[in-house]
Amino acid sequence: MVAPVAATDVTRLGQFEMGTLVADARGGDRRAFDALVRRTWVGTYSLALRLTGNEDDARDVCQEAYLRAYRGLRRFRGDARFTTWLYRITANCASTHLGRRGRHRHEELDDDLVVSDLSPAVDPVGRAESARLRETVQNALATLPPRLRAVVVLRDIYDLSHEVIAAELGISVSAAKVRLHRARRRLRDDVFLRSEAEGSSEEDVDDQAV
Amino acid sequence: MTKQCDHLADLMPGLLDDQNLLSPEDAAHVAQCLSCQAEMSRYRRLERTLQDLRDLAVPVPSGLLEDLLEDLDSASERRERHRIAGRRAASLVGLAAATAAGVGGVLVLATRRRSA
Repeated sequence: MVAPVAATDVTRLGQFEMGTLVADARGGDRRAFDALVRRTWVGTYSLALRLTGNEDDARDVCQEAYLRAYRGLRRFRGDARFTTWLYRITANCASTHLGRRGRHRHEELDDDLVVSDLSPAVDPVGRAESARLRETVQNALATLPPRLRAVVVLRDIYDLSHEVIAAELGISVSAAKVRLHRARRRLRDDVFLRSEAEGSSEEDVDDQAV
Repeated sequence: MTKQCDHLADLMPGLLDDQNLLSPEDAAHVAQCLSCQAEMSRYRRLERTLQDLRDLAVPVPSGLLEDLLEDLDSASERRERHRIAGRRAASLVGLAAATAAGVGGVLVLATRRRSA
């Protein structure tokens, strides 16, 4: 495992440069495709990890996604961003991969998977609070069933449309919306209600001690 | 908690996508209901936190980038082999067709000469 790398390096690149690389890669330039891989692999791996909740699965999904992207690059019409297209492929690969494995993961994230915050915040207290909330949300995400986790990750973290999510997961748009609704409710329960309940039970213990 | 609070609790996960789900009556209720305001605040915080996750780094496995590029090398080689094999096959088919046409031509000429 190496040091965390920002998942959004690609966003700092001009879309023009990405567009040029995509055009060259579509024309058969392998070096251009390699350059695209170098600029997007961290983001792709991050998505795969969030969808699968497991490093080995994420690695497999990431490898499969780039092979599919390479084979299907001529079909990329360029009417969406390359990264969005890649995220769709990754989501599809993750769905297939988890379906093939036929298992549902509910385990907590490993300590290694806790992400580090690279964005500076001005207020140290607020920063600590935000970091704690992010960690709680990530743990709650990891405990969601994969079919609920997939929709909330793709919609609320990666901002894909309901239609795209439905297409890549092989479900109807209404099913995608229902899953998203359930996923958000479960996250809200796990993140806020349990912590509030734990907080109040700690207060009860404190009261009894007094 | 009122019936309207329950109704809004059902709506709130969807409000993150579509604010229009909130009718004027619902909005008026939220404006004076601390419980619904707290609930809405929870969803807003959840939404912001999820959005923040996209910008966070994850620890990436060592060697993955190299593996990705190696996989692509293999895929490229396979594609090139298929392309060359396809060309060879096309050449052979072309050669076979030309040979067949030649043989056919000779046979036709021979048949015409005999009948003449």
